[in-house]
Formats: sequence, structure tokens, C-alpha cells
Amino acid sequence: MVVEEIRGKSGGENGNYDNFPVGMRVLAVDDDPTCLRLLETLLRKCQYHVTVKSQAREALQILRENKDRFDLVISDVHMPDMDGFKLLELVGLEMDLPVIMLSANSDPKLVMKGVTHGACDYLVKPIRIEELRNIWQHVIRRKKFDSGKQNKCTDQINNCQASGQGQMSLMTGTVDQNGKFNRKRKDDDDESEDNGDENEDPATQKKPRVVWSIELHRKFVAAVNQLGIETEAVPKRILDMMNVEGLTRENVASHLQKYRLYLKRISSVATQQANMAAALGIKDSPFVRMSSLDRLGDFRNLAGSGRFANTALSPYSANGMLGRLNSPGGVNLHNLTSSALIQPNHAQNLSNSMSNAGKFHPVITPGSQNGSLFQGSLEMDQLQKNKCTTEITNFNSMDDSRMFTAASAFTNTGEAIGSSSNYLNGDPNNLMMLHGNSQQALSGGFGNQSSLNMASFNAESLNGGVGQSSNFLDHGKFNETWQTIQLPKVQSNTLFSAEHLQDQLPLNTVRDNNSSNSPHLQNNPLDISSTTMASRPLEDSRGEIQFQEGLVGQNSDTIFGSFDFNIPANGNLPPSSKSLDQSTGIFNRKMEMVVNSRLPGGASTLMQRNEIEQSNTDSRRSNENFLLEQAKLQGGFVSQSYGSLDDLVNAVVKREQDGNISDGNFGFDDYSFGPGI
Amino acid sequence: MDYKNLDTKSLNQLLINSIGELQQQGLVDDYFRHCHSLKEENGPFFFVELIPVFLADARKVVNEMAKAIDQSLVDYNQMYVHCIKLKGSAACIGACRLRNACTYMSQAIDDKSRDRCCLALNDIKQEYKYLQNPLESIVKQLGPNATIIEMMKS
Repeated sequence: MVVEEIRGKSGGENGNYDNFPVGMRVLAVDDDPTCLRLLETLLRKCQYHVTVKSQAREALQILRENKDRFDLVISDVHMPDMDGFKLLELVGLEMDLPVIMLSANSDPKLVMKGVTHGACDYLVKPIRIEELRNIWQHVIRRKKFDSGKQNKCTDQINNCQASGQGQMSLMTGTVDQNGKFNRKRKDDDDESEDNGDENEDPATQKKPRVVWSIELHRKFVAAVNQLGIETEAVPKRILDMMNVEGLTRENVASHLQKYRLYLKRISSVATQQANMAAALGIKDSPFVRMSSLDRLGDFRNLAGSGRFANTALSPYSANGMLGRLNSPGGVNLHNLTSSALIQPNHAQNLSNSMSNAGKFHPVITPGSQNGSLFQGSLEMDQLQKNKCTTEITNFNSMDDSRMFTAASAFTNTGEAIGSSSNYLNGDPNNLMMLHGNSQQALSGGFGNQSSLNMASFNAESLNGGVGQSSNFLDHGKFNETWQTIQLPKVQSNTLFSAEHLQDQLPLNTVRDNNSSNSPHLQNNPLDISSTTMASRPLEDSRGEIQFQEGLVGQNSDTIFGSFDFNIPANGNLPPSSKSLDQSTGIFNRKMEMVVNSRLPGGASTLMQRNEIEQSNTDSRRSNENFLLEQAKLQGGFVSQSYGSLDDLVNAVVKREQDGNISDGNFGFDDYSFGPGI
Repeated sequence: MDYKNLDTKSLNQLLINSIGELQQQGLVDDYFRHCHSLKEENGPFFFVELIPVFLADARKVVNEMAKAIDQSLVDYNQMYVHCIKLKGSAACIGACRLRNACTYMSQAIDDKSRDRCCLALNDIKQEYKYLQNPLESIVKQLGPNATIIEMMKS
């Protein structure tokens, strides 16, 4: 039964946002007529403008017709023509709208899946009207994060008559996270650059986004390195140093935030991976280890961590990862600890470089201190492309919740994935963003997009996948699951020097199915002193990214293009601790970041594939950026699994398109952790 | 009972009573009453239309489940999809017993136990029957009655 009712919008085309959330435009999708009818009624009662569709395809169609027509999408999980998660990913990728999942099943696994795919909420039937009264917060949150400007919607928020504090049904972490965020945002006027209600109508007003191209990012990184990530790298100075026209301080600020998070994440991932490696005692085995992931709940703890202003790595991402891990791939989530962030000095990556021979079997790390490792089952087929050796890097306790990643050791064969072309630095150390899954949603382009900058990928390891790299930028969509790959610091000098890493989460990027990322790095002995978290600094909104001078490489466009961590001397890879924030709440991105540190020995980037891809058909592709999007991530880390670097790139691009990436819009929907093989 | 002769208020009262009874019997929970109270938002026919839609849809799903179980090789995924759908409908409208029967069915599906699925399906059918009559009589009360519209509006 197809029911479509479009209510006229009061007050104009875009709804009357003076009284937001009154007039918020919602699209409801559910094949069950009873529920759909009821949902419609309840939403109307909340004074939203409701459009209903009983078929996912029709819903997609009307969404595509006019992306600005809706503010929020509510979709059932189980639908005959299309899986709700798939729809979720597509919407997130293409339209970057907040999506709420609906189901009669309250199984936590399913909830997790929703989270990892980027849902901003998950409601269980029967739905109470009270729950619907708060859903507007997702719109606001996303807008805020998207725009990169703080407090844009402060007025709106202030005006909103929130009925409650938001009962996020299942994402408690998210709620808290969100709560924090919202409060932060409201209160933190200092942060908001463009304060003001420039955007009363979130749906209609699109601010020009800064696209962080590789070049731009490279400049940024160079400036940051020059100034010193810890102390002198303040947005103003960075901006001055970069000397780019049209770039505002705010853009730089948010980009810096993300970058820091990314670095943190990398270091943390590296630490975890190292731990993992140690625990597993695997060396040179072709598997991907998942670094510990923070749990959603833990995420909150992150807030405590001084390092990040916002818990970039929201537990959300962690959950995302978990969710993904739970996918059929047989992900095992081991205890997730919240601290995703790795202490900077701990970064030690060690990871076994594992060649991505085929399937990554999920590796379960023994609850390392840093969190649980996620194992994602890497989809083998996808991985095939990428042969990545994953290394397990050690992560220091990562504050960042997101974490994850299978450690893939990428041997630094100097093959920058995508090399050549995409790498800015040409350093093989680039981060490789592996996209976990290339969903259909992903445009074909993705495949080649991954700009894997696997600094240390062996040439052979990167086949195909990497070669493509490149277009991170090109793709606007992120369908990829980004998995951060931890680059094991094979070489001490590599990218990261342990000390340099400051909470970086080594993101292990897991491969992406089509992406090139699968650089297989030659197995590096785990005991690499320096952890190379060459995670690309995803534009983490938060976190300090210890970016060592050496770092750099990044394909700016995409989230983290590839970091070229070739800083042999410093070996510091800017851990892109991009917490996986999913800024836009699209958590479906698994970000696989392959942090490639340029390890001469072979940096390993974890490439992991996401099993999710297999399991989840809908690899979330979040258009967001990948790696860490904290902003959106409410509480979890953004785990975005990018099927391939391409996806990642696309995701980044998309993000940028959607908004300022600098805003920390990287949303990782979920981390896809390739299961260690 | 000749509803036509009743005035709006009485009719409304009758309806509320019916709903209360059903609730007391445990056939429906509070959501049912809540659905009824939503009539203002969606127009007078909302509730009246909703019930038959629910019943028809539920019947269809039950039949699908029966068919799936009869297969030599039971497709549990498909069964699960049906089950969750029915559960969702039942939950939304407030048919708590039917919802519980679906929960039981989903457990049987998880265990991939055909026997238990059959048992669960019988339960579901039973609950559906229990529900069908009272709901249909409510519709009769409301439906054809011209005054219903007024009642609805009130």
C-alpha cells in the first residue's frame, strides 16, 4: 500500500523553521501499513510535516528528486524491497540526512548494526509519541556538525521546545554524547565562529563548504608540522601559514580538530594493535586485527579525556564498529574500552603485518587495555583486492572510543597506494583508507578512488586497490567503510614515533572491498618500535593530532587522503585520530584507515576488510567522512567502514560537499574491522 | 444492537467501553486505546480504517508464515521477516497477546526448530482469532454508522 501524503508546509517552501521543530519535514518509510499509518499520525501530532512511503525505493526516489525536501528520515529495518540498513546507508551517503531506524526487534545486535550503519537513532515498535517528540534533535545536531560552525543553530535549539532531554532509545551513549555536545555547543560560544542564526532553516541553507583537497590538506599539515601540533598550531597561525584564499579560520579550526582526533586515534589504534599483536603473538600472519574499540559507553569517558574537546570518538563509533563486527562476519567484540585514545607516547605499533591473503578472520584481541578489538570479518572477496597485511599496532589506551581497526601491517613498500597519483606526498606512508565495502551505493568510481596512501605498502600488496587511490576526492560519496588501519610501526622511524603519537588512534583501515587499499604490507615484525599510526588524520574534529612533522601525506580531499607519513625521521605519523566521529551521524562508514606510516620496513596498514561488507550489504556508506566523525557521532565513534579507499575518499568528498569537513564532519559510521585473517 | 439510534456521545462511550473491556481481557494493551485517541489528528476514519487494515495485513502474514512452514525446507530468514512484521503491527496497534505470540515464534525461529515454529504459529493463529471478533465488532460499531463521523469529530 502506498500512501503518500504531503502536507503543505506552513510558512513557505522549506517549512516554518521559526518554530522548529514544528514543521520539521519527515519522511517515513515502512512496508507495514498499520505501523505506517500510526507513525504518520503520531508524527503529525508532533506537528511535523510528514510524508509516508511504503516502499524503500519510492522513498529513495523522492529523496533523490529533491534532497532538500526533507529533514529527517524514519525507516523500518525489515522491508521487502530493500533492507532498511541499505536504505540507511544510501540516504546517509547521498543525502546526508539523519535517519532513524525502526523495528519491532530490540535485539542489541540489530541496534548496533543500525549504529554502525549510521543511524542516528533506533526506535523499537511500538513507538510512543514521546520518543518522536525528540527526534528533531538529530536534525539540529547534524546541521551543526555539518556546518562546521558552532552554534549555528543555537537559536533554534534554544527555541526548540524540547519536550524532554531526548530519549534516545537505544543509544544511550549517544544520548549522553549528544547531550554533551549540545550543551557544549550551546554553551561554548567561543567556539562558534559564525555565531548567529545564519541558518534558521537548516534544510535550506547550505553553507559553502570547504573542500579539503589533498593539496589543501597537505598545506595544512605542513603548516601544523611547522608550527608544532601541540603548542603553536593554532588555527590563526595555520591559516596564515597556509595562505589560502577563501579559507577561514573556522575552517582551519575545525579541520585541525579533526586532525587531532585523527592523530589520537591512530596512536591509540596503534597501541591497541600492538597489544593485540602481543597478545596474539601473531607475526606475519595475514590477518587483520582489530584494535580495541571503544564502547559506546566508554565513549563518555572520553569526554573526560582532556585531549579531546569533544569526545570525538564517541562511543557511537565504537558501537558502530561493534555493530559491524557483529555482522555475520563473526566479529567478536571484545571488551571495548572506552579509551580509545592512545596516549601519545605509547604508540607502539606493532603489528604483524599480515598479508591479506584472503579472508581475514576476525581476530579477537584479548581485551587489551585499550579496548576491545573488533574483529570484523573481512569480506574476503573484497579483500582479495587488497592484499593488505595488517599489522597490529598497539594502541595505547585510547581515549578515543573509536578504535578499532584491525591492524594491518602494511609493509611499506613504498607503494603508495594510489600512489603516485594520489598521494600528495607520494609517500607510501599514506594512509590507506580502505573501504570496507563497496556497496552498490558506491559508485563505481569508488573502486578506484581509494587514495590509499599506504606509505608502506608493498607494491604488490597494493594491487589494484591501491592503485586506484586517488580519488578520494572524486567521490562525493562515501560508501566505503573506512577502516582504519593501523599501521604497524614497523619501523621505528616510520611514521610514528611512539612518542609522537599522541593519542592517536591508529586506525586500522581495513580494506575496502574494492578499494585498493589492500595493500598488503609485508609483514612487519610486530615489534616495531615506533608505532606508525599512519592513520590519516581524518579530519577529526577532535583530538590532538600529534602530527609530527614528518607526517603528511594526506589526501586532503578525502578524509585523510593518505597520510604520508613518511617521516622517517620522526616517524610520527599523524595519527589521525580521527575519532570516528560520525559527524553526520552516518555511521555507516567504516573507516578504515590505513595508517601508513611510512615505514620503511613496511609500514603496515591495516587493511581490513570489512566483513561487514559481507555481512552487511549495506555497508554504510556514509557520505561522511570517514574516519572519524565525531561530530556526528554522538557517542560512538564513527566507524565508518569504507569499503575502499575510494569510498573513503568519496566519503570525504561528500562530506565536504555536505558541509565543512573541517567541521569535523567526519562521520564514521562504523568501523569496519576486518577480521584478522 | 442498533447503533444508528444511539447518539454520538453514547456511541463513543460504547466504543470506549469496548476498548476497555478488551484491555481488561488482556487482548489489547494501552496502545489500542491510544490509537483510538489519535483519531483527531488523522481524521474521523482513522481508527475505523486502521483496524481492518491491521486485520487484513495480519491475516496475510499468518498465511505466509503457514506456507513457509509447510515447505520441506523451511526458510527461517523469511519466516523471521514475517514474524517481525506481524510483531510490529501487533505492537503498534496494541495487540499485546498477539505480539507475545510472535515473540515466541521468533525464538523458535532462532532455534530453527520447526516443531516449535508450528506450535508458535498455532498460537499466533489462535490469538488472531481471539482478536478478530472484538475488533470487527468495534468496526461495525463505528463504521457504517453515519453518526460515527460526528462522533469521530468530537
